[in-house]
Amino acid sequence: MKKETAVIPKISIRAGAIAAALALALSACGSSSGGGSGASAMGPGYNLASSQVLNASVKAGGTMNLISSQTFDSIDPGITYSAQTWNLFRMFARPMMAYEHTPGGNQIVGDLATGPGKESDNGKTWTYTLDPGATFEDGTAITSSDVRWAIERSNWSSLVGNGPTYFRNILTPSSDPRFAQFANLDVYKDGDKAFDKIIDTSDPTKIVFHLPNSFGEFDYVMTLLQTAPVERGIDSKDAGDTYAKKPISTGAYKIQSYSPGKELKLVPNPAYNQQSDPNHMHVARAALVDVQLGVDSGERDQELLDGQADADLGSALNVADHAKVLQDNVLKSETDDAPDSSIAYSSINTQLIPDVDCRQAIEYAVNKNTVQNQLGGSWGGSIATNLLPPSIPGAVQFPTYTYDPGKAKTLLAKCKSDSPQLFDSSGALSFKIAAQVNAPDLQNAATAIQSSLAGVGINTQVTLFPFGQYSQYCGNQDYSRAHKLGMCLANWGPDWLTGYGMLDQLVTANGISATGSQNYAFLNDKTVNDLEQDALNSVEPSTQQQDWVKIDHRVMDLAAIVPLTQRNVMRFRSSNLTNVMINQAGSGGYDLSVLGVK
Amino acid sequence: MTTFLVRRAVTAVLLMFGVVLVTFLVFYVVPGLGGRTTDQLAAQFASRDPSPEQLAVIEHRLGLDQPLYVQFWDYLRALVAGTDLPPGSGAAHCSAPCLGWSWRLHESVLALILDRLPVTVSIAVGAAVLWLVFGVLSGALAAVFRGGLVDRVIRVAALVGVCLPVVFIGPLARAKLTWLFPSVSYYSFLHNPFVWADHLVLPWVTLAIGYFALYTRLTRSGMIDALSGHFIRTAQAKGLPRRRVVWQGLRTTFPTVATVFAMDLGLLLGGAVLAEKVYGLHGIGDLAQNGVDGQDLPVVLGVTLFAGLFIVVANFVVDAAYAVLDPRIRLD
Repeated sequence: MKKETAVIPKISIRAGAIAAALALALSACGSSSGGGSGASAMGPGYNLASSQVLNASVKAGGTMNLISSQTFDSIDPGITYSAQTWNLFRMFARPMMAYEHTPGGNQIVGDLATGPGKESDNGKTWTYTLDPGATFEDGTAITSSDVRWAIERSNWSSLVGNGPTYFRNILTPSSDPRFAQFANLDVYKDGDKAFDKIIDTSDPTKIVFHLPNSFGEFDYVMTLLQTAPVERGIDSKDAGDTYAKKPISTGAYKIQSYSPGKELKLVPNPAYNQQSDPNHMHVARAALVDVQLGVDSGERDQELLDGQADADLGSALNVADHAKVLQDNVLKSETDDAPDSSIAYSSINTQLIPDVDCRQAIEYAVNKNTVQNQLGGSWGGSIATNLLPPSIPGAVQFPTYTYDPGKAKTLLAKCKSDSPQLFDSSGALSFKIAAQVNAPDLQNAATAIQSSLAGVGINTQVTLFPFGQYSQYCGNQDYSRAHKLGMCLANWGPDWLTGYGMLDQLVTANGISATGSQNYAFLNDKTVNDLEQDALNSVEPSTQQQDWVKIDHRVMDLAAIVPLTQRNVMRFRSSNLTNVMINQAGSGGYDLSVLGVK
Repeated sequence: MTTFLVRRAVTAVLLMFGVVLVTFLVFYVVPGLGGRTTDQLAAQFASRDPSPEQLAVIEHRLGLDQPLYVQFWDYLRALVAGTDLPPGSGAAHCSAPCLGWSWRLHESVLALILDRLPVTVSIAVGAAVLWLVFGVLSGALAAVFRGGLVDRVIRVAALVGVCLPVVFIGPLARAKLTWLFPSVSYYSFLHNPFVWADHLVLPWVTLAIGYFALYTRLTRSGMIDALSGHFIRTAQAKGLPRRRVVWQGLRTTFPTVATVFAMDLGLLLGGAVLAEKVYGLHGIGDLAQNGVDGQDLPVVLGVTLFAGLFIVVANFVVDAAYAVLDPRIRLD
């Protein structure tokens, strides 16, 4: 007996006892629930969140458990740049403009601003009025100067990094010599007097922007979280260090704690003044929002389906889990498979393959049915024929190239006779197709394209690049030419739902840069660029929309892009959540700002 | 003893310097030889289409605007004396020992490591106890009953265990055993030891299976050698009880088992990458992997250095323990 109590056996007995006890307890739980708490209750129904509010409720309290496989570069709303962080950070940061909280909604309304900007001077001057009564979480009243500071610090300071650069590019374009002094300006060091004539906040309730060039979509720029006010006095003391660690809330929630790369906790912000929010853009229904970060995507799906987590911040379920969800009526009733305004596409390098006949041959040679199968089948999206998805206001869907190997061979022969230098010594058009390392669906799609092209005599190799460095390979003109990168597969979604958001970086000259272009086709077409300028000079939405559709047609005529699918994203929301809806306020996913728990 | 300690300390410092140098070369220099430019590295920390001025700001913030030898020297100096951080880093100063400042998480690498250390220690120590106890016991049993049914069963079990890597067992266990074990997550041991153990059983078992197999084989072969030794035969001839004979045989395997155990534990404390990823636990391995994915080089460098420290300490402990476990070893 004495021997059995020696150290090692004792621990082994304890471990065994724990395992046995837990096994018994949990097997009992398992048999009663059929797979976890989330699976125990029937959800509101499959694929309904884009069209109706699910589990509508005004109940407050409870803990909402969110989860993500991603981590944040920063919790400073001004320097983040992803749909998921924008969706989440809108819970504690209040931008000037925002998307309405309706199922499927994509219209912008005033958030901190009373409404859309008042435009004058042919789209060069934009005036916004602040809702009265808004405060920071410390009770300090918000003024237009705080909005101005938020924009300045995130665009002209040492903080620059991962945030968007629209304000910088629109207000002080680097191509305009009048703004040379802004290239190296750091408002923390140099102050912001230089902006007095650009962003006028002499009236604390109004902010007036003076643009050097017309920009008809400025209201959309004002939806960026860089317009969420920042207390200048506190932030400028230490060049943003303190603020970046714990941003001061202007929304209905505030940050309770943040552990970088691990966890973010939000609690209701008692200082939030609902009177200052006539459009009801912010509400704190949960008593605690616990966001787990950096969880492996397989583990994340497991936790979602087991009911340990209520929703992801916006990512899709892994394709491997689609069947599991769709074959289980309970899980399926908690799932949505909705379009998310993005496309899967492949560029065709117009510099490497300048002959349009060759590019059109590629368009005709790609069998999009096989590609769609690799991108999740009909669950993963519908076949795309052009660039602008239907969710973009004014977008028109039109037929372009359908799979036709015969036509592809004819065009290829014509190209060979006109541009023989594009073909290798064996007489074949040869190049590489790029996909991202961590995107198996796109890799498989690249292989399907490779197979399609081989059918018409085009020789290709599939090559992979890391996600974070993708644009440094596919977007590098010299590298692309030297390594014969003919096609690059990627997903693309707009920063805001207009033709500009979708097309500016993808197919115009603005998307070509030395350090990493987003315009992987390197398309620099005068007609496209002029049409874009025409659209931006206009403040009339219908004129803008017509111009974007014309660009869509022109790009397809030039065969610079092979649209593959209009992507659907399969997302899971636990039946525990209330007020569930998918809309643009949720960056195309679940609108986190209005969610509650039962 | 003092000479031994001093000698080992000096060796440890030199080893750690080597670890830092090699890691620095691998992550900072080798990609450059492959054609990656400083601008390309900095662009990964910028948004779409950064201007040259923005890239310059980022390069200054990350210290990439300095020559490589200056970057290396600055790193070493910060380890000893701390360093002031450039604007935009998220803080003004990184105190000694400064293992670096994360480019992505804007936090001290040491703070990030210490924040995750309890998770990794919990996984490693729990699994180590399991594999050590069961591995040594089953190895001893197999040796004692050599050639019998028990030996054969244990040998087959060990063979299967060796053949099953964590990447196989982990996802399988997570997918199929969640009904049997509680959900895996980390709760502080100090908060509630039972809850802590509850939620780590699965990673412990997953990790321990492979090691258990190794320790079984190690103990079995060591004991078989010992039990066929002259001293055992002499002991048996002199009438020593079988229980004590077996104990003496087992004792001879201790130095070897201790050496391997210390190294294995040291390695695991540097990050049980696979187990942490499979079960979504935020330990040091998870931090390192995210660092590599995100090109967060200070995190990679800091974690490598920290993991190296464990190995060096483990080596040191083993050397010292040898003196106790094996009387033939003398320190001076």
